[in-house]
Amino acid sequence: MELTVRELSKHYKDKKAVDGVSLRLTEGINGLLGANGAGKTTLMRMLCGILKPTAGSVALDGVDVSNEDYRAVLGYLPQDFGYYPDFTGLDFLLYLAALKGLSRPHAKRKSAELLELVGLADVGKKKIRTYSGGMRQRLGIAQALLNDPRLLIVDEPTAGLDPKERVRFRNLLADLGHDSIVLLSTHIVSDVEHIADHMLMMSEGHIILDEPWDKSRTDLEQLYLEEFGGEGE
Amino acid sequence: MDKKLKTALNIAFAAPPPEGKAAFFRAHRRRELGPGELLLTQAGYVRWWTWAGSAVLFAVILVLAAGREPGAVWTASALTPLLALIAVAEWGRSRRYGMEELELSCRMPLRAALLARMAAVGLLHLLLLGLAAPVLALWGGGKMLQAGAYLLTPYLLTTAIGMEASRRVRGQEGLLACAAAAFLVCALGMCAWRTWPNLYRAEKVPFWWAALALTLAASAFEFVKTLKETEELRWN
Amino acid sequence: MALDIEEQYERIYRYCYFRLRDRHWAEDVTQETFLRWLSSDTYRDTGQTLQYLYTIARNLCIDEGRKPHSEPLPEDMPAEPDDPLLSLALRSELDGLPPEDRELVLLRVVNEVPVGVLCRLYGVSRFALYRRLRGILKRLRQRLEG
Repeated sequence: MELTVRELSKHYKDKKAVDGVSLRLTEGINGLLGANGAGKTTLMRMLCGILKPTAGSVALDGVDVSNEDYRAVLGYLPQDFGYYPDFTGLDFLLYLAALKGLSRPHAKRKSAELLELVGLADVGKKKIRTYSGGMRQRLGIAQALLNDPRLLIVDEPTAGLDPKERVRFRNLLADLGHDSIVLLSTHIVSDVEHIADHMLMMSEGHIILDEPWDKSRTDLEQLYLEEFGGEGE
Repeated sequence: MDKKLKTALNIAFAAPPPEGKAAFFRAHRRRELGPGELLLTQAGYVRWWTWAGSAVLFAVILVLAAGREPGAVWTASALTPLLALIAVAEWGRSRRYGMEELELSCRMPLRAALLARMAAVGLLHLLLLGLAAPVLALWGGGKMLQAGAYLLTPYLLTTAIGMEASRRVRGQEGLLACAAAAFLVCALGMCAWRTWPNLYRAEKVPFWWAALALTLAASAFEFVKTLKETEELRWN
Repeated sequence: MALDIEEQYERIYRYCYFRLRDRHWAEDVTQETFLRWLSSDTYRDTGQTLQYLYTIARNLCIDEGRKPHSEPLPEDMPAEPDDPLLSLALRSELDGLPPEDRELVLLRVVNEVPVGVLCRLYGVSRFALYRRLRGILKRLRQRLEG
């Protein structure tokens, strides 16, 4: 499987959020590092078909991002997401499952399975507004997995999580990298240093690093600072 | 079919568990919701008090009509903006609660889901107004089509303004803006009856047809713009 | 009511295993069945789904049986019962049945395939099917009760 990005750009009136990005991503964990405002979120949104690019193209094994079939195998966890206030965790999953076109029996089974996987099985029937930030993030990852995605795009998933939950997330994502393409954006080096198979760095709309990554390396922080010349976090 | 036999047969015909099931289903997506089912599931997500609120307003309008007061039609006409408010509030939910981003990344185009919800609520309202018009005409005196025009015009005006407001103002403030629009049109209706009673005379009916055509066009325009917005996420 | 496809996978597999007696072979045929179903235009019409699935599976099993293989397909029921006492009498009775009857029991009782689907699959009337099934089940019940 290959996600092919060609000369992708998003220009606004006053700035170039993403400028001429070209990538080839395959199965495994692909880390995307960059400071806030580097264009990571804009890039990810275009990879999800949520934002229309100003130029360039995105395709998964030849299927263009605008095609329904692309989104059918896509799982996305945005940086911030809302929820209808009266929803319980389970309602939320079932609602999105319906939008993902899953049949009702399958949706129910999958939702139960995922709630179990992310450790929310006993609060699935409680309203989301009673969940902590960490619990909401876990619910977010659950919804991203509803349709057994082959392409999983995760934007700053560990923001607001305590260290224990961070580890839990990392392990979960590492597992998923085996037969899906996972793109994980973060500004926290430790999130990706030991689980990524491929490392990307982004700054001001450009990709400044794009290379395979050896999980035993411990110099990511250093590399990051070097590339960003001290501007990063 | 007794249970004992069935259980025994289940055991007798048992097969070793299939190993490739999970992998197979991961590789082949299930597409099991057709367009009809989508409409139904989305309609199911319209909040109960949208239906309830609509029913209550409808009842109020009918009660007014039953009172047979001369001003019944005009008062009812002034209330339809509230009905429209209920509709616009329902339609704007994705944006208001930040669900848009997630919804947009799903296979089912958000446009279809939104259309389904709008259709469900819109159809209900049209039905209610369609039912109210002859009732009012019958009891208040006057033609059914006229009554229809009197009811529909403020409704469409409110939906048009409401949709524009929802697009320009984000979050919960958007809802407030819609409410303000609704009440404004409402008040306008109430005042008009008192200040320019001539407007409701039979000879002014062409004015109402023109107004109806205008508000219909405005609503249609806003509707198309709202749908276009569902193609991608809007930057603030 | 949408059909639970994963459950049907298990049931079709069980059917294929019954006919082919090899779990890997059975699973291959099951997957082939589902692939054909998924790529056909009729997959959305859940009213016909079971019909379609069983027809494909059955035809595939027949074709597979005809292929030049080293071993012939086994005739007997498989070993490993959970409750030896319960199944022994039943097993011998089942072994004594013609394979078509065994298949009918599997499909109707264990896989819970609707009668209408079975009638179309075998090309028999409901009356004939009920009568045959009743006869088989009566004998099985008698053997079970000793």
